[in-house]
Amino acid sequence: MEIYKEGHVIALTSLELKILSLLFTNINKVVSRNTLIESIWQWTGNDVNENTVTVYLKRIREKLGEDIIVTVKGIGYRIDEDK
Amino acid sequence: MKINRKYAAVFAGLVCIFLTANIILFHYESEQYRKSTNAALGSLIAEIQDKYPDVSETDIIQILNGETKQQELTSKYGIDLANDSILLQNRSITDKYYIYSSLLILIFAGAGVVIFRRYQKYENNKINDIIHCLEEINQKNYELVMDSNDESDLAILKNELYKTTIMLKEESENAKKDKSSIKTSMEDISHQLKTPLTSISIMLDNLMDDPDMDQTTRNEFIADIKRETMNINFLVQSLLKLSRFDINSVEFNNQLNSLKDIAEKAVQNNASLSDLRNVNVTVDVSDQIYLNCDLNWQVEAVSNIVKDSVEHSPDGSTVRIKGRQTKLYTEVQIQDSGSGMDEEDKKHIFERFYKGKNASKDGVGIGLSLAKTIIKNNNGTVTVESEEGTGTTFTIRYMNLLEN
Repeated sequence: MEIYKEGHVIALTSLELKILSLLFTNINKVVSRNTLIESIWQWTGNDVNENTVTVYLKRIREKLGEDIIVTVKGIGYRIDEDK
Repeated sequence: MKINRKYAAVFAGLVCIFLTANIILFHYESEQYRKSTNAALGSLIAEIQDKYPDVSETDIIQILNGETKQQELTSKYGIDLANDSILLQNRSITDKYYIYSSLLILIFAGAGVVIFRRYQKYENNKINDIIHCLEEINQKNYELVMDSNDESDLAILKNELYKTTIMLKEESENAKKDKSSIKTSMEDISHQLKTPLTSISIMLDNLMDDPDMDQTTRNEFIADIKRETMNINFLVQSLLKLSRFDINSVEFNNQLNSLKDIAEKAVQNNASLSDLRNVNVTVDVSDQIYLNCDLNWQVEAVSNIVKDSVEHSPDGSTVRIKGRQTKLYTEVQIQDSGSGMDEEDKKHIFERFYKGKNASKDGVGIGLSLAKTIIKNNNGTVTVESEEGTGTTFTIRYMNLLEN
């Protein structure tokens, strides 16, 4: 699985890719922070706190260069189709 | 003793029969002598009567009946009548020899008995030796006294008995060990399963009893239940794999695989974890190294070890995977610069359900044990070197087999 932007591969780490993929599979729907924490636990066997989620989302946004991810305050994140 | 008496009776009987046979034979022999002597005398008398009619019958009768008037004459012919009493003294001479011969037989029989008794005593000593040896073994004293290195049947018997006994002892001890290890492992397994099952059932009770529970707590409970279920699932799957190895029902689909490929797949399996832990995993393995193995199983083994290394690595550090091949073996080294482990952990790290002192709380201690089992089944060994504070190095060596 790779993410392309204008013909170039965006070098995302494994976990960043999985998080982005989770957001895309739930397109137009809010993915809660708890869901993300649970998913990370499933993928890595490690319990993370909300800070880690914030940090990962920040990195993904930086790498994408465009803000397609919407922060839903107090709940989670969402990617909208029309963006 | 009863048997001895029986043998003694048989022996005495034999001696009696022999004596009787001897006497009968002697008797028969002397009868024969007498008959032939008498026949010779008879023909002599007939001849004398025929050719010398002058000789009176009375004289002959007198001679034959021992009235020896012509002693001087007979001695002239070389016949000493005093010692060569042809007819009447024969009987007493025969009787004398009866006694001599019987005495000789009795002496031989006696000597035979003495020799037999001595031999029996010697045999008895040997048998007592063997019995003593077995008693020692039964008292768990397995030292074999090699003082009787002769080639006698009893020495061989002793050695064979010793070997058999030791073998049986070892087998029974192994069986006992196996049984206790199965017991321990069953206890471990049931403990590992019971803990998450108990917490699941408590949380489910809570959810069912309290319909007014606020949404956040409810979601937390459900998430926890999911986690525990996944833990159990992982545990059961690992245990199934292990037990398949235990009963030798795993069949490796062996092919030549690139070692680099195996290492990279193992890294890929742990990519998310190393990403989260911010641990860099490097692979330094030549493309030229090939290993005859089942790809999926060996990837699983190496993955489990890499996972362990990554989990114990500090933020920002590197886990190095190196590979090399010698004439003897193919080697993979997984080196981390983590917290390391002490001697105690090193000794038990590959044991089923053993959790090191720095182990994560979610771990059940099955990953490394499974890895070792998989590697062992591919003619490999896995060892660990570790220094506290410096890091840990796992070394996997797959022996090169001749047929490859």
